[in-house]
Amino acid sequence: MKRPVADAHGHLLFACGSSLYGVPADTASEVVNVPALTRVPGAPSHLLGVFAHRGEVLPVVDLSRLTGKPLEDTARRAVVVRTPRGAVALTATRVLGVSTLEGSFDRLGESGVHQHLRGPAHAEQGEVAVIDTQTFVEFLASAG
Amino acid sequence: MTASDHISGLVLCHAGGQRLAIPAQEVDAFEPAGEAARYAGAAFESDARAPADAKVLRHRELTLSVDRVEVFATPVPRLAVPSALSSSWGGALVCFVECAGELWPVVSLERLARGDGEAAR
Amino acid sequence: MKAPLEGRHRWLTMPSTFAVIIGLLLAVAYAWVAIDFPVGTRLSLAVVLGVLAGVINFIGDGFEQRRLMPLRLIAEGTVSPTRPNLLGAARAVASVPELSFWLCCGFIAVGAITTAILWGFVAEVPLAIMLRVGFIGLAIAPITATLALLLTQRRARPLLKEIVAAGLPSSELHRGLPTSFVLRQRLVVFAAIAAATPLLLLVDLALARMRRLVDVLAVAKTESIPSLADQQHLEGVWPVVGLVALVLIVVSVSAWLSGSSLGQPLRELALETERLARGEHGEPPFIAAEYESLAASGALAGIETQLLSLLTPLGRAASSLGSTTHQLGATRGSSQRHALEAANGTTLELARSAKEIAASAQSVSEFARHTLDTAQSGRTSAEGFLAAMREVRRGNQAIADSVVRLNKRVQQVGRIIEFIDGIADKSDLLALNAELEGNKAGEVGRGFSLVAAEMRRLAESVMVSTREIGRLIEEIRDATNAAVMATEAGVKATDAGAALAQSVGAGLQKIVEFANQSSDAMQSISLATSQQQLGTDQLVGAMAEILRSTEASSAANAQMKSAHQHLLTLATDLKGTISTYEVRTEKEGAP
Repeated sequence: MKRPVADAHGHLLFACGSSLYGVPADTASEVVNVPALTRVPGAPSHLLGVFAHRGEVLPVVDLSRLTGKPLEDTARRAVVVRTPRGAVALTATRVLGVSTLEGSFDRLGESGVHQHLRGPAHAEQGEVAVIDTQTFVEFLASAG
Repeated sequence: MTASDHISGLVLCHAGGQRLAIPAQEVDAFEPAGEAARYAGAAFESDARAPADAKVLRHRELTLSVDRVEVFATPVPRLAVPSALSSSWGGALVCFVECAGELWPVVSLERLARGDGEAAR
Repeated sequence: MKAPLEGRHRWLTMPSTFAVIIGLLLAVAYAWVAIDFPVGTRLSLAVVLGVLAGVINFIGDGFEQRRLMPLRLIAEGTVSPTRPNLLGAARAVASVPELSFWLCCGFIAVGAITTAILWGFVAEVPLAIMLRVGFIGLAIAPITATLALLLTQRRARPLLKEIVAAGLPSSELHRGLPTSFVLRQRLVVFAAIAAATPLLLLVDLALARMRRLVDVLAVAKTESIPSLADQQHLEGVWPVVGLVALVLIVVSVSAWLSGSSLGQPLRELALETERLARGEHGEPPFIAAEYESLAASGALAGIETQLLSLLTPLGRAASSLGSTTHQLGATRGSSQRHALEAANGTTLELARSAKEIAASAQSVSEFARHTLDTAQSGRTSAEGFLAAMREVRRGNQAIADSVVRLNKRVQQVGRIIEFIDGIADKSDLLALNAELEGNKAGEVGRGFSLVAAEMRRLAESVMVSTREIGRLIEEIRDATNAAVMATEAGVKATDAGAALAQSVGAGLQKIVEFANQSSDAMQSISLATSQQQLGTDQLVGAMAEILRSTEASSAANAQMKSAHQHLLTLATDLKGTISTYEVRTEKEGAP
């Protein structure tokens, strides 16, 4: 199912391991260095922990563990994404910057996290999977 | 009377190298170490084992063992649980607090006990 | 026009001929004294020896000249002195000392055996004497070859500098010369040769005299044995003493040459680092050396090049910071206030990071200047090498300790580089967020995004440079460690390392003393930086407060204007800091 994506302000692209992801730039709040994390009891494995940032508690999620290809080292940076449902920090090995994307925006899978990835979209740096941030944050809330 | 956005009376616990806090009102009693108690460290790392000198906290039928405890009386502001964690540990997470420069997850023994009861059914 | 490097190919190979002559004289003197020649055979030995020596020298010289063909072609004007040709000539020159060693060793050994055989048949001497003549030649060969190598090296080094002056940049020469980390092995071999040669000759002499004594006593009458024994003991004592002294002199001269050969490049390295610390940049001069010392001088040249490339993007960033503030200053209207708020806070942080990088670079160079200020006083040449040998035994351990302390200072420099790297990483992060904000602000934020992109490029190139400098620091550390191990190996086997130890050790001791004094500078850097960070947080908080409480857009614009003015001043300061480093890209005194 094609969904027209409001690309007026482009997407923030980042790499997690060998995969490239994009989030709409309006939902990307900032990029931070991942600090020392506090672990949460009973949390799923893709949730590495939380940290306090400007007075709120942000959960840190590792996309590579959700897609089943976990990285060997932990990533240094994280992209903070805000939706009406809540905020989450996604770990990134490299943040590339804001770009416009072309291509299709179909659902990339039917189960797990892949339902919330759209694409394949194309940028200068390669193929990108765009994250549908609204549904993704809801998915995280129910997956715990 | 403390404001609703503060919490006062916490038992700060260490288990398996990680931290968690429990509202003091929920702890019915402290008990010596026992085999039957559930080890809090296993919620972080599934193969963690309680040490010989573990402390046990009791709330009704639920017993939870941890490595060390410390009581903290000063009221501290609550920080909301992010939505991504709302169902962690069966929904036992109540809020987060900052104590002594560190972030602590606050876990409700009442909710844990209820969660156990539901799982048993 | 006179061709450059005229006649140098002959000049370079003269020392090996000289060394062979010395070795030959030593062998002849030894044979004369130590061997009982049958009557009339001395002359035939001299003739055979002379002929063979001439043939050997001719053939050996031919090999060396063939190796130096690239140099000869340039010297005779047959090919033009382009960079590839000069590099080929330089590689040939650098390889000649070791070639001389092997040629001398091989040819003298072969020559000794051939002499023994030829002479034996011509003069019909007994097998025992033939063997001894051959043996003496074999024993002399290694020390002669070592002498040839050291003397040739003393000419090869200035010749390499002449090649650089003829138009080959020293950085290209460093890249083109093969590096080998075999200093320790070479010194061990040299020590073995220096110890073994006198030992072998003296053992041979002692055995010969013992045999002679036994022969005499065997045919004597019993009662005259004691007096005969005394007589034999005294006979020929003075020639033997003279011979022993001669051998020891040759070995000692080789030891002195070896020591000064190691010490010279290290002195030049210290001088060059001083120049670097004073801020005089340009094409690094070529410091001639071998093995680990060559790698260290190459690493230093690489650091100079990297510093140059570190300073150039800083200068560019200063210009672009200044030119793009105009775009930001032109924005008006309360509808853009949100973008302006975000831009203001991040702009200040960007400018602050750039200032921190420049300040840290300045501190590094001041630190280097203070600690290496006394390198000049370390220059003492190895005079009175026989007396120095005794002192060196004691000084050996002190040298190893001094170099270990020097390594710690190198580590401190490494920590500064890490610190700069950390700042560059933070700047990259800030620029990312700035780009994001600029993008959200739409058209208004476009200029802002450009500044941010430039800042990211700057941060990336700084991190590349710091990684490179870190690698070069590792190479220097390896080179100094190799020097420690080589020194210990050499002195343990023999006193040959005496000259090196004395001259280098005194200089290093002074360097370390001043390094201790300048650790205060290090502490004030880290203190100033953490104070700056505190100030940054307070300032950003204060800025946010000011903007929030202002209602009228003209008031907000006034704040923006002053912040931009501040930015312009910072950009100018940055440019001024860069220009204090005299970047000389033209070679001094180029024709």
